[in-house]
Amino acid sequence: MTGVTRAALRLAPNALSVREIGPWLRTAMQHIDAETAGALLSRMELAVHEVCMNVVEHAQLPPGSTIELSLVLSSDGLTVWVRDPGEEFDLAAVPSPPERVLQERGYGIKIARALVSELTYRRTGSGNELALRIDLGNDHGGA
Amino acid sequence: MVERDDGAAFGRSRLQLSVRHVDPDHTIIVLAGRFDAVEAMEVRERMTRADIATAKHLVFDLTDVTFLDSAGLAVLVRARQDRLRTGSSVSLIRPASDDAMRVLRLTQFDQIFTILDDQARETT
Repeated sequence: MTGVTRAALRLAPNALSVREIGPWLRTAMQHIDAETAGALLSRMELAVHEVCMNVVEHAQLPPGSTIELSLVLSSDGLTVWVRDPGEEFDLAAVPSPPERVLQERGYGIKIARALVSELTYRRTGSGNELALRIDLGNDHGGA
Repeated sequence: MVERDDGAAFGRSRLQLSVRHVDPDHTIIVLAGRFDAVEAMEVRERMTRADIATAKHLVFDLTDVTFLDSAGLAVLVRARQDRLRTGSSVSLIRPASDDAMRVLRLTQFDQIFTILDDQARETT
């Protein structure tokens, strides 16, 4: 892969709009080989989907606000940033569901963490920024 | 969600749902397509209707589910919890999609639910 691809997407904060993530990622990856694109897409689409749904359901966004996505795709990997103006989010405090105990809630961040090489959070002024990165050339998340 | 009665080949753009009543106690819910937060609410609502709500033993056929998120998982959990209280059961037929199956593995649903191979479609 040569060069760097950058793209951005603005989402209304609802489940239907979150479906735009897959086509957006697919378009950004159209110039890379199909095998790499397929592996990246399936993992990153679901990881970003879960992070965005977490924003939709828990961030208590101000009326009229949106979720801003951006990505950088390079030979090193793919990074997607998810930014929202909602309440502060403590990623480190999100519990993982207990082993072998089913519960209806709490799997979204667990799934996102498992699918990417790194998931990080920072507070940016009055907003939140989550960064999801998948390194190219490793098989993390392929369980 | 679109409900089909004939079990015909499904499109993939929306979740397709069909219900097969094997006998008064055994029901198979066949899902195909995208089982995400948009569709989960409709599936959850559909499951409250008597033909499914009264079935003691449910099988979710996930063979043709291409995308599965935490909201879809929550539907499966609710169905199982509802039936465990009365000694009934919920099983899953393994999704053909590696991506959907990976979600079941990452969350260890594959160790909690009984997962059937797709041959169960014909024999269940």
